[in-house]
Amino acid sequence: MKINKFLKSATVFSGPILIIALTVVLTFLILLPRVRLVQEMGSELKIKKDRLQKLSIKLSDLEGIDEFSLREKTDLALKILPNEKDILKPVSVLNALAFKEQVYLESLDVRPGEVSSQSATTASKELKIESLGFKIKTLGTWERTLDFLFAIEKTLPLLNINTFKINNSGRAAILQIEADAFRSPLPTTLGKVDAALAKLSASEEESLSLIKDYQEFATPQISIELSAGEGSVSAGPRSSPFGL
Amino acid sequence: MAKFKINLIPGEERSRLDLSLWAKRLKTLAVSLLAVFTGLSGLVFLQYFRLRNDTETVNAKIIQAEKSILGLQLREQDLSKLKNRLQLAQKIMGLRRGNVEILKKFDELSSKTIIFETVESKGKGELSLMVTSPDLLGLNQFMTEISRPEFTQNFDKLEVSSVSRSEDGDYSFILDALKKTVIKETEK
Repeated sequence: MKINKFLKSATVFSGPILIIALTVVLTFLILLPRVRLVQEMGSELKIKKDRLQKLSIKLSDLEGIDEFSLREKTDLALKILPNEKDILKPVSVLNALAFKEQVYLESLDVRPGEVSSQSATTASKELKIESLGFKIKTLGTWERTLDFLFAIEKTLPLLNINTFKINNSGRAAILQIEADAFRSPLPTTLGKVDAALAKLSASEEESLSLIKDYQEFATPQISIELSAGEGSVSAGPRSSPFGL
Repeated sequence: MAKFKINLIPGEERSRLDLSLWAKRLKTLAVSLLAVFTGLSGLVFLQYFRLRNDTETVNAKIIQAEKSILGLQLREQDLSKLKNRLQLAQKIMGLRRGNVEILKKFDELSSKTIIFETVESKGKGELSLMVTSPDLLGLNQFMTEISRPEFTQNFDKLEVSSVSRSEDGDYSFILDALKKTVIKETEK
């Protein structure tokens, strides 16, 4: 009797129990892994969409750049300071400047051995700048000497006056300057493809417009004497244009 | 008034009915679970295929964008060089002592009779000048010009030593100037 009852109950309950068990098993075997997969795919897609957005912004920025204008600006910027150690350039610039401002360049002493000045290296650790120190002595009228002095820091490549001394007799002024020329290697690598485009800041734009007015001189033919063993380069004295 | 409830169904029939009720409940639960499972599975698979499709589209767009960016690499390189040089230029210009500018200001204020006999730039923003004039009037005029508040406000120190007269009749004094911004920079 009892066995009959149990069999009857089992027949009635087995169907629903089997369905429930199957549902639970399928949930664990198929549904939950798929849910996890969908979650992962969702977060991955979000990352990819962010990347695509960055790339799109960068692409539109790059496409928005006027290539001609950029090339022009870059050409100018490359004249700001040379990539490689160039002793001839500052010497020729100073020589040309002295000629233009009509001062007699009595002596010009460059110390190529001095790789960097204290001030330059401390101020720019992340952007490597090497400086090249040189001394100049000129002779000219007071007005011309001042014009020459003012023009030095407004030429390309950039030159910085560290110290100067003027002895003026009224008829002629002797100017002694200690200045620095600079060099820095160009960046060799670009950032990641999806890295934001490094646009020019307002202050950089301002510097660029300031530098646009700076004078630049083509490297003229000058006589340079290398004093052997001293590691210095000097432009020899020439006849004074003033007959002083 | 008290209520009486009398169950007249026989015991065997009653247990059969109970069993049937439980079986019905269990069936409902099983069907509900199956429905929920089917519904959820449908949604999950739908989402899976949608995401897979979206991922493929986004991947294709990324590849396209990367190709386009690489095609414009020259522009990026130029911009990078430009930025690098301008940053360096700003640093170099920031190292300037500004002494030439001070001399320029003094020269602009001086009259023709004024002679800057010696000019020496010392530290950053520091300048020492020996000013000479054959007449006291020119010297006085220059001193008046440099004493104006609109001019002195640019300096932290503008010191004039006593005026002396040399044997040849020229008047001279020493002027020490220190630009104001220098002090502010060092305070920082």
